Amino acid sequence: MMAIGAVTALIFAAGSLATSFLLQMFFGAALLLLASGAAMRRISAKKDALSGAANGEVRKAHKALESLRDALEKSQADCDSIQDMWQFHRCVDEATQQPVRDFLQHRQSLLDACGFGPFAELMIRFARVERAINRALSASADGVDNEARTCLQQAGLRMENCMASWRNNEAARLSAPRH
Amino acid sequence: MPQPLSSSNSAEPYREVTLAAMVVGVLIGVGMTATFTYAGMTLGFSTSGSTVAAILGWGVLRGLLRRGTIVENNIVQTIASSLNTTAGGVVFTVPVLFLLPGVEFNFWQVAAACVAGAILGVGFVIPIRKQMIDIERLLFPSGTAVATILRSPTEGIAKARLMLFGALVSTTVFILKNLDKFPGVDFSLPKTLDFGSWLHLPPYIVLTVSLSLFAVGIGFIAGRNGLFVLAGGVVSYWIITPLVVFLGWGPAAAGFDPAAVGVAIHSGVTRPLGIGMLLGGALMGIVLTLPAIKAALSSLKSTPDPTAGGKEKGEPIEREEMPIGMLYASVVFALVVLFTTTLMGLGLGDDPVAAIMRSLVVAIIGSLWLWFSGIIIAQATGMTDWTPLSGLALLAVVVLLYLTGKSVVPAVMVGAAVSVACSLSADMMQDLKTGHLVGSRPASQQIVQLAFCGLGPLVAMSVMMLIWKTGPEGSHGFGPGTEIAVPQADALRAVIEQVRTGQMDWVRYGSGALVGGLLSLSGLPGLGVIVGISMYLGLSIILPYGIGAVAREVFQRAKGIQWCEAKGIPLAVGLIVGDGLMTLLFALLTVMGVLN
Repeated sequence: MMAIGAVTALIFAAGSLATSFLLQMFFGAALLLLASGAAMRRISAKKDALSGAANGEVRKAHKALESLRDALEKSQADCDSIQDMWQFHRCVDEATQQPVRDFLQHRQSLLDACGFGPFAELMIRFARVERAINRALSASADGVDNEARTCLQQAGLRMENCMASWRNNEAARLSAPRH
Repeated sequence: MPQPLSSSNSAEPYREVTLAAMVVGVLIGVGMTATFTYAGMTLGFSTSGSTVAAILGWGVLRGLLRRGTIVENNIVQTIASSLNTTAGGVVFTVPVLFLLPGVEFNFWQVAAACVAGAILGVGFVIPIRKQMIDIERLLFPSGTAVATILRSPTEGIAKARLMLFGALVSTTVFILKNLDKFPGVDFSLPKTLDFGSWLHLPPYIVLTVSLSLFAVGIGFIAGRNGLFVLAGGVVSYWIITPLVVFLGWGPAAAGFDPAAVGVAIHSGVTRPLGIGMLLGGALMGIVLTLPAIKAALSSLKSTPDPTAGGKEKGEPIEREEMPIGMLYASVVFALVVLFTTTLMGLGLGDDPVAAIMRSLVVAIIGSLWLWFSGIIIAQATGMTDWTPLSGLALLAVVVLLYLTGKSVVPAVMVGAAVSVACSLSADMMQDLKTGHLVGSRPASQQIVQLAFCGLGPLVAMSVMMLIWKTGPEGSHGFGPGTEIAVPQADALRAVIEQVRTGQMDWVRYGSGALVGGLLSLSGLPGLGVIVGISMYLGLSIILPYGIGAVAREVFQRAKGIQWCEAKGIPLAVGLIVGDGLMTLLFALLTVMGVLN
């Protein structure tokens, strides 16, 4: 409905819209169709997010975050004894990239489930974790030992803040009245 | 297996913002700016050159100086690309002041306006970093490609080989397309393939594909958003244009030329609709994300001083963004410069108070438009990698013409500031995306970009003056009828004439804005902006871009996301790098007179 409305609106807008009342009527009708399609899409996305199917997505996102937290803890423990920066790099990269990827794949459901504010805060905290991991990877690739280890530690601490944000969001979401 | 640098430097800080990085960045940036200014004036388009800067930076820091780090090289490409990207903004607008009769050109006034625009462009876009990169996670395909290049020595030999292979392929195709530029060579591969004439389609049904592997690579990285761009192009060129001709609307009224009507419909109908959609889509996007923009500004103000020992649950907070005071100071400085240059352009005349008020209004509205355009550009670039720079600059000049009482010089001057600002906004966000992917501190990039961004317009305008003076009797070195045709500025000149004669089609811009706004309301972020861009671009470049996007979808479904990231992206990056390097090299050889 959205696509049909948009295309027909554009077709009518290509004509002499300023001077033709008929074209203006058709343009208005097409806009109405577009607006209805857009509204229905938004409502449907919200319903999906709140339904049982979306809870699966939300659970997957949570699982990915937990996997990332565990991966960071394990990396810190394993990398404590690693002196070779190349090995350090590989250890952190292999442990963290998949959980990061998994979370990003399922994150969109959180927006519809939690609302923009809590979603934004979670994503900002997640981005800080990610940046610390990326910096650890860059530093280890450049052979800078202390920076790599510091950043890995930072990533772990930031992950705790990220999980705290998640717990707050979940608490708010589950206690919100359902329709 | 690539080896890391010496791991014995346990006490040495991690090199990031260093003197070497700044010097190398400026030198590469100045060279690229000069080259791309010439290329932009001749070809009508420019490029940011971040990928080229990243490779050249590697060559100098790691190859010559033997000590560069990944984040240090990111600073090199941040500085270099911030200089170079302003060439596009200058080239699209400033030449019009040379082309319009009876217009007096003051180098320092225009340069000051462009520098002010550069500072505002960087400053205004900083608060939306969190929104676009952390929350929305826009792709910024070029920024992603640059990160892949910066990390390439660590990503393993297989990825490096794929990148090299992609670069070799695009280099070869580029050279074959431009063989006829070499003296004495008549043959070259066609730059576009015209399937429309092979299929005997009417000339207004365009089916031309540019042989641009750069566009294919960018489309592949853009992924799903690229499909919306393709859809918009299909609607614009294969549905609206034939229907307009069939119904005899507008340029296709009685007695039209079939060979020219397609171009007329694009410039008079679909392009204004597309620009309108961009504006409407972006405006709706801003409305929907106002809470996030407010939150971003608050967090900028409230970021604690790390020296005060602030903590967040166990970890000391580092300053992520540059200090808000620095941001306010640069914005105020730039506003004052913009006001001053506008006033100098308008002159005090018989009523100094009115002139001052008008200059103030122009500076404020110009800055607001600049802020708004910067957000549109940043979002468009983030989703598709295309920057509708000339369209927004064009609208800026039109609006300012009305505000200044159709006074061309201040309108074009502030329009140039908007154009430069927009190009820097896009570049800043691309660089920040790269920085996120390699672990750079956003504040480091923001500060160096703000510090050096003013150099770019000065270099670009100096080159422009130089070229102008190479003409007969020391002037008219570029323009229609010369080898350096400045096509974009010439198009702007045509629009200025339209405004002067009262022929602007506001209804079309407005109806496009309504459609774009409603599309963006749908919950698919930035949909209005993406489709608007597709109606604004030429189909010959949309099609290879769409091919890349379709390839991404197909491979992703068939082989999975990991395969695409491990194999597809390095190959796509190679295609981009090869094309970019060859563009720079050919432009340099043309400037030196080696090529035709």
